[in-house]
Amino acid sequence: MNASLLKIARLEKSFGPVRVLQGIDLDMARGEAIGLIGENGAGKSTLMNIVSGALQPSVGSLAFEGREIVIESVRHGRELGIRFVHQELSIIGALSIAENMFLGDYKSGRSGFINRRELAVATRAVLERVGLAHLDPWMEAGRLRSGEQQLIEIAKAIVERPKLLILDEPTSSLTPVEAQRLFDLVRELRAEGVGVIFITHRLEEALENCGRVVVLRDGVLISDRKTSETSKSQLILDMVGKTATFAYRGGTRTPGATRLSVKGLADEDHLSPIDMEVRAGEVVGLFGLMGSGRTEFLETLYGYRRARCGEVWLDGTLLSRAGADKSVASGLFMLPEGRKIQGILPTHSVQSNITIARLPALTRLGFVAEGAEKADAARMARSLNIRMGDIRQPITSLSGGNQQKALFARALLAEPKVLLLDEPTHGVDVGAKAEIYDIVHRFAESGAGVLFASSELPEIMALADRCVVFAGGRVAGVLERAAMTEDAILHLAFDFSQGGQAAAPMPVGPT
Amino acid sequence: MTKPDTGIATSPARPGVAVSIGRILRQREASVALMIIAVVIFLSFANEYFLTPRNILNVGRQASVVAIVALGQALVIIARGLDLSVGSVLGLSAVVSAFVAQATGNQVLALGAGLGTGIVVGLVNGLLFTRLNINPFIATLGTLSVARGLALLITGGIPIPYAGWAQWLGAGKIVEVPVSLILMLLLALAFHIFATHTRIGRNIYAIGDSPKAARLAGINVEGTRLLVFVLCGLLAGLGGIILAGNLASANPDLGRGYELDVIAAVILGGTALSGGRGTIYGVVLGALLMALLSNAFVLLGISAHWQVVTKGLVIILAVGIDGFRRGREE
Repeated sequence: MNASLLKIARLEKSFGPVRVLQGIDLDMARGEAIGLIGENGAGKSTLMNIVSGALQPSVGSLAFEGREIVIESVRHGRELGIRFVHQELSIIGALSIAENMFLGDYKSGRSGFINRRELAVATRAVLERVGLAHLDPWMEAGRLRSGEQQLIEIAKAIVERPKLLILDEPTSSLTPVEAQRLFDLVRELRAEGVGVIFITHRLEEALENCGRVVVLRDGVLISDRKTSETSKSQLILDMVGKTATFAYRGGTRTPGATRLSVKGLADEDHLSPIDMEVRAGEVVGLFGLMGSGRTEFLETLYGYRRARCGEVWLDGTLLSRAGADKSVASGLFMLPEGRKIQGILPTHSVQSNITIARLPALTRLGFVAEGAEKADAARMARSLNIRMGDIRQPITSLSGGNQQKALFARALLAEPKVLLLDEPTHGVDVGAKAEIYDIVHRFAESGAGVLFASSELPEIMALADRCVVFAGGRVAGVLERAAMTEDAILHLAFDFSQGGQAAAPMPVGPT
Repeated sequence: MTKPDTGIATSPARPGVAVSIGRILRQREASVALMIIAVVIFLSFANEYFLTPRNILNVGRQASVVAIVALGQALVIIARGLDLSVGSVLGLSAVVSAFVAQATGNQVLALGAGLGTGIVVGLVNGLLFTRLNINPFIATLGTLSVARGLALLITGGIPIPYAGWAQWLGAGKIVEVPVSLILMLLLALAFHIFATHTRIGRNIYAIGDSPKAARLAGINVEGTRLLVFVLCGLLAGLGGIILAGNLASANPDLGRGYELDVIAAVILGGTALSGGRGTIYGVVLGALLMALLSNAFVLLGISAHWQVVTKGLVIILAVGIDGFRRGREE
């Protein structure tokens, strides 16, 4: 083994009362490549943010190049030689590649003037390393494909000659050729003594290109295995573990006639044509990794996103999908993933938030029947157990879980035939989670259909009567309840994203 | 984070009957109301003429046109839009209306043409915003120029004399009370009811609060925004007819710079430029304060140039107090 590059000892991190990382020990040598994997929320990003200086550990120590150290900030981390390339791109579209690459420095030297010739030469040298030698340094960066932008992002990091390079999902938007070039580059860097940590969802990539793979689950380092001595199945097992689960209660429901029928629906960029059915009294789960197209599918189905082709039938009627308002009028309702920006009306009261989609049914000659409105809101708030002082208080004064329940009250008051949910328990505590599962179950029992997207396997297992697995913008497989295991679902999601990649490289952002 | 009672959430959800003084003071409209009270108290001591019915009604008449146009502007701003073209629409509507009156002698046709002009420009503004996705600031900056240019083209730059019904609207009185003031109060009442008790009114607030959330909740965002721009244009047209009637002449330059007074009245009245918040009575108070200030300068015999400076300072002060208060609460 070479000399130690990074040593993490008994590290813990808490946000308020919530402990997100505990007892993390990790030792990394110069020139080593480590794959870091785990489900969403396992703590990968938090751990890497601590290593890069963006966050401070609550307990524990870090040593870099053999010296114990407190990394005070990202800037401090960069001075030490630690560079974290995030999945979200920070390219400035209006500037050229060269200007992006040397942002804030510009090879201006003492004069303060930009030395264009030197800047171009330096940029070309770096572009060659990441396999983009054919690009003009003065090209506007905004015109690049997202894969190229991702590579520019990595090139920016290399310019600083880091000793430790952390890459978050670096290949998610790359073509196979670009990905291969990236792995070659990583090998070159390792030969120079640079350590590389890959955060990835693609297990094969981790197995092929790293010496070790580290698995995090619920903030704990579960396993640290040599890639030569492990397998994909083993890693999936490590990731899934045996987490606290909610009991599945769907067995008591018998699905009835088809309510929602989707035929060949695709949006303009992310999705391949998709078929799907939801029956009365049925809860269908959509599982997929980050960027698999779950959210895009729901939004397209709802008419919030433009469709390229396809049909949506609801109770035998073809929907126009001319807009979300038309869908709501026809009997669909969707609760989006981003509660803060797409869900709540932040300066409105709890009551107004609950009744906003109910107003059409409460309106007589244009006027809102305010007595009935108040009664509806109060009844729903009681039925869904929304905890608050007064129904006229601002929605933002409620906890996340109660805000989400208020949004469920909004959705149920719209009386949809089929309810669409995107990450229905995002940012919600365990107690509220159980209540929300109960709401969904009861609503399906009443004969409605529910279609929900989730990136949390336990949630799929607790709610779904059937699981549709998304990968790379298409359906990777459908599992009936009897065949649904966390293992089977993950295998579908991972296998397909590997196989499907060559056929359809897709630009992916955080969903 | 936000305390249960910030006074912010009260526009859609009405406050209870038992309203405490403290609650009133926390309303966004409180600063403009306090300023009005301060100015009234000061003027009633400083000038004996101020409290005469004649002067008070005069202030009301002065406030009425700004207030009428501000009613539409308020709805536009609450829906996260902005209409810079209202001053030019005012001028164009006045000119078109006077032109039709002169050409046909038909008062109904003249009035209809003036209001129709406002509606058409409002429709264009709304379509530019909702269909072509042009930022409303830019779109209405464009129509501001186009409408003014058309007014100049129609008249060749020369004012058109305007008598008839418009004169009654602009200068007439019903038992000593100016017609325009009565019209303004009736319209304000109607818009208050529209904004707070109808579905469309409630949707306007929801759209301004969070356009994405409103869209996902099934609200027709484009249609609603189109409607508020049309209403804003219509009221600007009405304002133009009243103003021209008051002067008995439609000047193509009428209403130049008026958009600033109107937006100032809306903002003074506690409407948030970021949308989703604001009340109709606040807007009326805002317009009233502006008229009171002009009146004060006339009565006290201070140069009108100071009036321009003061107008700006008052806006900064009112909005500043509000921002300071909310900053402390958060």
